Amino acid sequence: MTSGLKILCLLILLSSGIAPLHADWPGAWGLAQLGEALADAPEGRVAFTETRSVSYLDAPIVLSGYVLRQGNRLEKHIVSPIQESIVIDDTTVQVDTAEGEHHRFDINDHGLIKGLATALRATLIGDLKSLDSQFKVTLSGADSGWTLHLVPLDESVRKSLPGLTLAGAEGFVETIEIEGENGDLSIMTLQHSVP
Amino acid sequence: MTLISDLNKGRLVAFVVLLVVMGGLSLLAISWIRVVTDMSFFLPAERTAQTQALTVGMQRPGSFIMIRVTGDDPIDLVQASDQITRTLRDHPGFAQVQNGRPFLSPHVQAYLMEHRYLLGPDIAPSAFSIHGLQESIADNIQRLSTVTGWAFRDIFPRDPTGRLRQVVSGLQWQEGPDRVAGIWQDAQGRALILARLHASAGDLSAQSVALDAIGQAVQQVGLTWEASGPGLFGLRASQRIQEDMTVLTSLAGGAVAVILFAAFRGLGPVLLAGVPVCLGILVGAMATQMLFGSVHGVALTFGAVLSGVAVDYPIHLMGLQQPGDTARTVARRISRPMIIGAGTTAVGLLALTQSSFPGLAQIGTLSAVGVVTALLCSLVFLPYLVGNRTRTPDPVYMQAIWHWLCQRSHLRARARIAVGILFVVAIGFAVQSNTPVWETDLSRLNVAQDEERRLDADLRRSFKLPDARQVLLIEGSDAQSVLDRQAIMLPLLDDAVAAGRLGRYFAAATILPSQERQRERQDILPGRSDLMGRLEAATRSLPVFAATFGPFMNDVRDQKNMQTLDADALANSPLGPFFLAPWPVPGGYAGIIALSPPIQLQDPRLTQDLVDLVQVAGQIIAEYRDQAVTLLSIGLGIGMAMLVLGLRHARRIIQVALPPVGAVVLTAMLLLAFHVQLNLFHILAFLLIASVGVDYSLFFPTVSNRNPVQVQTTSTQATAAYEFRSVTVCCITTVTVFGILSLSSIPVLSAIGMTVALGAGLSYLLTVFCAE
Repeated sequence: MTSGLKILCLLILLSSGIAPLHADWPGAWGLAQLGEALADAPEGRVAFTETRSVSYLDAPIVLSGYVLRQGNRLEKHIVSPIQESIVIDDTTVQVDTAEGEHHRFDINDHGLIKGLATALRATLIGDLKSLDSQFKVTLSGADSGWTLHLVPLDESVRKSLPGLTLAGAEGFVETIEIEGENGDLSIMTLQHSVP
Repeated sequence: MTLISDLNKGRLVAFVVLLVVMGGLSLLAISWIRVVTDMSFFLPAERTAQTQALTVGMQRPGSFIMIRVTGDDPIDLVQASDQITRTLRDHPGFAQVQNGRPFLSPHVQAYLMEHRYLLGPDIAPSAFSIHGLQESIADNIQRLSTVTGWAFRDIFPRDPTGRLRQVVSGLQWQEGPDRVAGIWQDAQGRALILARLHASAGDLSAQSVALDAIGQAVQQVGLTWEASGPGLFGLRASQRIQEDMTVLTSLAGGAVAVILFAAFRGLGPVLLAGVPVCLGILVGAMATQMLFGSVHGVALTFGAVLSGVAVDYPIHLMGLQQPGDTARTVARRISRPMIIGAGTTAVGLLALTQSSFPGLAQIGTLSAVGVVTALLCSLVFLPYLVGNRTRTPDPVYMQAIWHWLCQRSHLRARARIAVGILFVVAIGFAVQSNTPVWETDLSRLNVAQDEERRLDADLRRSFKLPDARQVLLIEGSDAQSVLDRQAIMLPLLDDAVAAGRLGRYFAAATILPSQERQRERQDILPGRSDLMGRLEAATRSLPVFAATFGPFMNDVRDQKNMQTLDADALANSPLGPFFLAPWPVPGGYAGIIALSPPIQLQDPRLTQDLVDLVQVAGQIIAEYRDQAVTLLSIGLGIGMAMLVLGLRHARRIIQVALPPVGAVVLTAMLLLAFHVQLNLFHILAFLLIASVGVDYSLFFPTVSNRNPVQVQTTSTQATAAYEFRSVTVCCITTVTVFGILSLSSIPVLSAIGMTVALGAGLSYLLTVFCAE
C-alpha cells in the first residue's frame, strides 16, 4: 500500500525535526555549519502539534503528541485524537496502534522510504552533503531564521512527495512542512522548551 | 550377440513384429492412458458425502504449505521472514503468502471492495441512516490521523464508512499463530509463514514447483527451514517411491539378468524373459483404460506386480528346451500345464473385477488381462523369437542336485514333518498373539513417514490450523441450503469458541451470506439520490463535502443492483482459494466446516454433523479389505475348480494345490506370529504367492516321474532335471526380485516384497518336500 509507505516517509522526516540546532556559527553561515550543529544535537523529548490538510477535507485533522530521540532511534507518539506510536531506527519503521496492532516496515523496502531515511540519517549525523545524491537541497535565510528546502531528485518519489521544508531559528527546527499528493499538506510545529 | 547373429528369416520377422508391436503399443499407451494419482483408488465407486469429504480437500484449489524458518538472531529472523514472504508473493504459483503482517493481495482486496456489502459480516440496518453515516464518516476521518488509517487515505472517498476494513478484519485466514515482533512465531521463536497455492494438493507438479520456490527463497536468507502441507505428503511420497523404485528396479533387473545369464548362458534368454510380461502389462493397462476411462497409479503398480508371475512362462519355455527340441515343440508340450496355471491365476484375478471399489477392479482387470496376454505371447509368439536352436546349456549342476534329492526321500519326509511342526507352532503363536489380525491404524497404510506426520501435526498446532480429522459435514439439497445451514451454525460455533470448547473454525458461510441475506442487505442500501441526500445531511457538521463521495455512491448503487453471489461465483473469484465451497454429492450438496483443536463440542445441533474422517476412512479400508478377501476366496474356489477340471486326478490335484495353499497359510501365520498386521496389500501378495505356487507345483517334476500332465519325450531323469532347473530359476528370480523390494523404505512396498519373497520361497520348499 503505497499510501501507507508514503505516510511513513513523512513521519521519518517529521521526526528528524526534533534535533535542536544550537551551535555558534562563526563566519559564513551555510550547509556545513548547519551540519556541524546537527552532528552535535542532544537527545530529548519535544511536544508537537500537527495539522494535516487532506485535499478532500475542508478542515485539517489536528494531531498532537511528542517526539523523542535516543541515539539513532526516533519515536513519534501521537496522543490525540487516536493514540499511536511510531518507532524508527536504522533499518526499520515500527507502528503500534491503540487497537494493539503491530506493523513493521523495512526502510530498504521502498525507494521513497530509503531516500527519506538517508535524509534523516544525514541530518542526524550532520552529513548534509550526502543529501545531494537524492535531493535538491536549498538553504536560505540566516542562523537567526533559516529554511531548508528539499526536493526529491527521483521523479517517482517526487510524485508522492513533491517537497519538504524544514524551518528553524538558530539552533532549533520549528516547523516541518511536507507536501503530499493532490495538494495534501502536513505542517508540524515543534514546541521546544528553550534549554 | 547370439540373438542377432543367427537370425533366420522367421526370427527376423518375429523380431521386427515384436519391435513394431511393442513400440506401437508403448506409444499408444503413453498417449492414451490417463494415469490418476489421487486418493480415488481407495474409495468405492458409490460416493457418499462422507467418502467425498475425504478427497475434496485434496482436489479443491487453494492448498496450503506451512513453512517454519529457524534462525539464531531474532532481528535477522524477522527480516528473513519478511524477505521470504516478499519473494514468494512475487511467485505466480502462490495466491497469498502471509507471515503475520496484515496483508491482502491486490486482487483479493479489489474483489472484496467491489462486493463489500454482499460479503462478510452483516450490515446494521442503521448503517445508512443519517446518524449512522455521520458517525462512521467522523470516525474514519479521525482514523486518517494514524499511520494505519492513513493507508486508507486514497480509498476514503470510495469507502468513507470503513466497510472494507470491517470485511477484511472478519476474514478468518487473517488470524493465525501468535505474533512476536510483528511476525508469526512459534513458542521456540521460529518464524512461521503460510503460503496459499492456486493449485490443489493433488496437483503434485504445482506442489513441487512451490516447494522449490520456497527452498530458493529461504536459501537467499541462508536459514534452515521445514515445510509441510496436505500436498507435500503426496509429493514426497511420490518422490520417495520414484527414487526407491529406480534403485530397486535397477537392482532387481540386474540381479534377474545375472540369474538368467547364469542359468542359460546367453543374452537372448535374458532379454526375451521380459517380453511377455511387458506386453501383458501394456495390454492390461490399455484394457483398464478402455473399461474405466483412466488407470490409477496404485492399480498400475500392483497390477504390474501381480502380472509378474508371467515372468515364469518364458523361463519355462526356454528352460525346458532339451537337445533336439524346437521352441515350438516345447510350447506345445508345456501349453497344458501353463494354461492351467495361468487360467487359475487369471480366474482368481478376474474375481477382483467384481469389486465395488474401482481401484481393486482395476488391479483385477489389468493383471488378469496381463497374465493371459503374457501366456498367449509365451506360447504363440515367443517360440518364433526363441528360434529352433537349443542355446540353453544342459543343467549339469541341477541334475546333480536333483539326483541327490531323489536319493534322499527320507530327508524330504523329515522336512515334511518339520514343516508340519513349523505350521503348528506358527498357528500357535498366531492364535495366542493378541495383535489384531487386520491393520486398523490407517497411518501404516499411508506412504507418509512418521517424522513427516509429526512435523505436520506440530505445524498445524503452531499455525492453529484445523486438524484434518474432525469436521462438520453439512448436507443440503443445493449449495445454497448448505450455506444457509452453515449460517445457522455460526453463532453456535462462536459460542463454542468463546467457551474454549473450540479453537477456531473455517466456514464458507462466514464470508458468503445466503443469497436471501444478500438481497436483504441490498434492500438496506439506499438508492443513489437518496444516499446523496443522506450524505449531505450527515456531512453538514463534518469537514467534508458530500460531493467527495461520488465513488462511494457509485459503489453503493452498483452493489445494490448487482447479481447476488452464489458459491460458484465465489469459488471462481480471487477469494476461491480461501473458500470451502460446497460441492455436489449424490442427492444434493455437501459442505465442510473445518475445526481447529481443541474440539469439544457439546451442542447437539453441532455434534449431529460432526464427522471423524479417520474413522470414515477406516471403515472404507475395512470394507475394501473384506471385499478383497471375499472376492479372492471366490476366485480361489473357481481357480480350484479349474485345477480339478484341468488335472482330473485327485492325487495330482492335491499335489499341485497343496504347496501354494500351504505356503499362503504358512506365510500368513508367520506374519501374524511376528505381530505383522495384515492389510489389503498382503492379500494381494497372497494372491501372487498362490499363482507362482501353482506354477511351481505344476512344473515341478515328480520324483517317480509319473506325471500325467507331462508328455514324455526324452529320458525321464534328464527331463526332470530340466524341469527342476526351470522351476528353481523361477523361484530364485521371484525371491530375489521381491527380496529386493522388501528393502524399500515405503512400508507398503516393503511389506509386499517381504511377504511374496517369503511365500514364494515357502511355496518352492513345500513343492520340493511334497513331490512324490
